[in-house]
Amino acid sequence: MSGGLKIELGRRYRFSASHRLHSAKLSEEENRRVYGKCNNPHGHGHNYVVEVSVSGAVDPATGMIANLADLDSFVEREVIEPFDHKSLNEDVAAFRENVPTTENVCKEIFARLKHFRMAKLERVRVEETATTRSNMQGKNFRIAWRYGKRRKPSDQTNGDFPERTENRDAKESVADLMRKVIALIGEDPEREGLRKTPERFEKALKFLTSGYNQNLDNV
Amino acid sequence: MNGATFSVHYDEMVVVKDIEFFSLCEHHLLPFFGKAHVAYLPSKRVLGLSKIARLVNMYARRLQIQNA
Repeated sequence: MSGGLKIELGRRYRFSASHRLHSAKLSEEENRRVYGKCNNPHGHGHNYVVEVSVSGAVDPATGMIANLADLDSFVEREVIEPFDHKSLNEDVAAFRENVPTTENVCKEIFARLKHFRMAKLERVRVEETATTRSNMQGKNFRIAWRYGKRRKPSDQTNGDFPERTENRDAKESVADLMRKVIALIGEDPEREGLRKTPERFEKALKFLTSGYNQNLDNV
Repeated sequence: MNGATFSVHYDEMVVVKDIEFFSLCEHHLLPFFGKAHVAYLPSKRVLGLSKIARLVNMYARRLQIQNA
């Protein structure tokens, strides 16, 4: 530390890899519904950007928290070498069990980098696309995302209400969004009791709002 | 209403009381419940009694405000 202020050093790295979003815990149909086109059996690729932040005391002699060359070679050995130009599902042992979502890729990179000896790992941010990223910081695990596209308003109407559209887009499934809500309130969506909560919530919500699918002719 | 209306010769008020419902409030998406009472004055035809409760539930299963 320098003068009681915490100083961080951040560095960006890139790697390219393919993955497929498919969970052994879900049925084929659920996988297609939850992950949409990202469930395509032959996978797809991303140019990942990884931002690593470390903190520590600034060495008065070098003016650095850690030597970037040390950080670079550590990240290269722990992450870039095993991930770059690989199929994450097949080539990285951790993703044979866990789905290589942005969140899980971020968790795995954090776990690999927290052993860096020259400085304290503060944060890992993984950007999968320009619109999706995941941050992991200490014990807290946050996901932030922006929508690439807005839901288009339906022109069909059911009485005064817009017709419900069954949305198969992975980004817009209620369960998928609920999983993000669970992470945002600080819970672990993969914990046993919560694992299927997003699907249960979606089912309950669809029942509780089933009135939008009814009208005077079919009630 | 699926043809569930019937001709009648009276014009006195029809009342269906204590229809239990569960709904979600539209401001917080939180659940609330209550009992609904529906009354109407028939004009030559009346609606099957069960349809009143089904109508209440149709609206209960949409987002509602609690002070409506």
